Amino acid sequence: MRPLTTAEEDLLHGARFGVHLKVEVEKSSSTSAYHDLTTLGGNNWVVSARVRDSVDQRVASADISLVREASSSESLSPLRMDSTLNQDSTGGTSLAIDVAREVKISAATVAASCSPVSTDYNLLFRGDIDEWDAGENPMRLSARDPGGLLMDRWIESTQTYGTSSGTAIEVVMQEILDDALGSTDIALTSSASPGFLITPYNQRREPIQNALQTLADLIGYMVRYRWSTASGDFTLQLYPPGRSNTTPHSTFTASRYESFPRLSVNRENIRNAVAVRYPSSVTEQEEVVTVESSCSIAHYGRQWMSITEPGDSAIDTSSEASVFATAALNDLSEPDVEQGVGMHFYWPVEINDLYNWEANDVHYDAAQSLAVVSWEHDLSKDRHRTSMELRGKARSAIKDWIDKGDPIKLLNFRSLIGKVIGEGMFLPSSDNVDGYVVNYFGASSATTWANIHDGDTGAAFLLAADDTGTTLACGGAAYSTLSGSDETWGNIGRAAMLFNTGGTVPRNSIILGGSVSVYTDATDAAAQEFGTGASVVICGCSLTDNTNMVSTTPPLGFIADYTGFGTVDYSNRVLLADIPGTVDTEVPFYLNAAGLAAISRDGISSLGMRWSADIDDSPPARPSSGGSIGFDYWSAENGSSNLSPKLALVYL
Amino acid sequence: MSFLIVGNSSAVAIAPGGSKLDTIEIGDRHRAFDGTYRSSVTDTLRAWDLTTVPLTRTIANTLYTTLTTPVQPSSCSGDLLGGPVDCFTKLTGFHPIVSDSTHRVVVTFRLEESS
Repeated sequence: MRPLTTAEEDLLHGARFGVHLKVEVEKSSSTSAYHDLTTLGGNNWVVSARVRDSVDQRVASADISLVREASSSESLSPLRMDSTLNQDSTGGTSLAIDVAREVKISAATVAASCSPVSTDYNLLFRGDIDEWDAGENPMRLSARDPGGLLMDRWIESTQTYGTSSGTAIEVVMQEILDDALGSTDIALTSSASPGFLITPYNQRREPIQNALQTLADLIGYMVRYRWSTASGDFTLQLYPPGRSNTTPHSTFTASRYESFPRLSVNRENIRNAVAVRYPSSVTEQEEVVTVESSCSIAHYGRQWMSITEPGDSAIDTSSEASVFATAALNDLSEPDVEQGVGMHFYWPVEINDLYNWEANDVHYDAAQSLAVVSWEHDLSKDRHRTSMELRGKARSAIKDWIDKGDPIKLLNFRSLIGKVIGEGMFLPSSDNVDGYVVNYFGASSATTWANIHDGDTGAAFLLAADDTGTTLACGGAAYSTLSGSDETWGNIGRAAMLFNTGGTVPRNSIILGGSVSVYTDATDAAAQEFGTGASVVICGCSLTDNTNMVSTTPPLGFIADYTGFGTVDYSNRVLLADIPGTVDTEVPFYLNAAGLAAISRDGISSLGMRWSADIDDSPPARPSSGGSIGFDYWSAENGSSNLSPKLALVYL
Repeated sequence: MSFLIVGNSSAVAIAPGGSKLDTIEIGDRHRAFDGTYRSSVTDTLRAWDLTTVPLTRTIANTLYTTLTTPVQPSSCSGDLLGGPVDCFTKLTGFHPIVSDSTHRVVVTFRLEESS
């Protein structure tokens, strides 16, 4: 909870006080001066403001209603250039409101008979305008706090973070912020270092906020904008949610709240056995850590969930997986009372505040300590309300944990009675693609990684092999470094395997698990002649035609096939170094949640295989001596169905 | 008599004792679960209930037009208000007084401070 002086606490607990709202909009994106919309041009333009936050929302948001026009010459509509409010002192255009401008919402609570002074105002929200809508009067603004920027901005290229000796998690997060934003403008603060070290992992392309939260989830922390008393502003913070806190931040009697729109207990989201599957850096294969709450299992029955971490996850040890699983278990093992409250304006509320609700002898006869999972302030001239949703204890997430679970999380055992588990084994059918495509530049015209990876049409030629050869391949090749040039790369290959799963896997089925198996076509089918740690992985692919890859010869009509391969891991990654050096040996890939989700119940399931550097768009260090990296395996034309690629599925 | 100007009208003559000042509280109020009355205040606005002296029909008609204008609020001023104030105007009565030789109108209206 935001800190209150005794006088402020007394005032808010009193039966009567004054509330004064202020909304300020940045004058232009390049200045730090603001219009006060409650006094602009001698008018109060603010009709109402709503500010809200929730534990699952990750960013605070605001909706503001404004009087659109006060006279024919005074309008806030950004398209009214004739409005004096949209002009500077020289008559030039200077919009009063625009998207991407910063907006601040403040409120002062003072004695009813007093007028507020500037220091009485407390900042409730600071963020950027996402949208204005002047279609109706009053017009409307919507905004998100600066966390919105982190949700919108992407990490545009993969990069390795962490060190073999371990880098503090907050340091890695700051590195990600600095790299992705290209500046050091946003500083992550943490009241104390969590003491959690990150070993090397490959950060994928994704929104910055996702990357930060994924790291924070490793230790059950939260990372979001939050009020900082020291800074007098909202700052990006990494902090624990306070799960073990038992000391209420404040106590509310029945004289403080108006109603309980909701008071309920629901066991839907209980998970009391949590399995985390992770790529072990010790055994170099997938391992599982399971944590359980025996107390919760005894009370509610076993409710299991599984979370499968991707092959490049920062969780790669059993201790890290245990911390992660325990954080999820702590947040999901008890169903907790859920209470909605409508009450008089209470501005200090923050997510995960623990409040004591005294007995009212109607809803409960003993005090309840509940933590805030969401709140909303609704302010206008004649409405000063705060509503909250509360649960038993502070937590870092609810919905997000459930969403992280594998599809099996959807299982409700009551709905499975009478259902039979089905299974299917699929081979590439004769009329569907079972081939590979290579972007080939050749030794004399080796080119840059960008050209070779992105499918530059300047290739010497692109090779597509489909139903003509007995081998499928993925990987890449490099040539000796040319003097003074980085044009080293000769080719990259990507394999496609299409399985006709439609009609076999029932439309209403839940796919529990699946794997793709391929078979080495020669002794030492996997080559790694430079670099280290290379692997191959199943991915999705979207071909121009499911029945044939486009012609093998120039012109380069099949570039769309080459660029149609997905960038998301559909399985664990298999290290080339781990592929046996004997011919006809099975190499299995286990589909993850994304892979299972890609299985079609109506038609063709299009899967591919890519080299790790290729799918990550992250070339290994430029080789000085050249060579190839990749994996060759039997296609369906090998003459033996036993050695054909196979997709195995288990479903309900 | 008190001195008052409403909108574009000329001075309006208010009858002695024909002015009553109220205050209007702008804010939120509700009863808490245990019955406690809780309120919060954004602003306190003034409102005047006014009665004119008997006016000539011409002056009364001009005042009528001013009070019923759709352009609100109107700028008002005068000793009665203590200075310039933007007010919402509301006509509450228009009472002709007819005798054998004269025809006068007493107008009653309300001014509410706009902000």
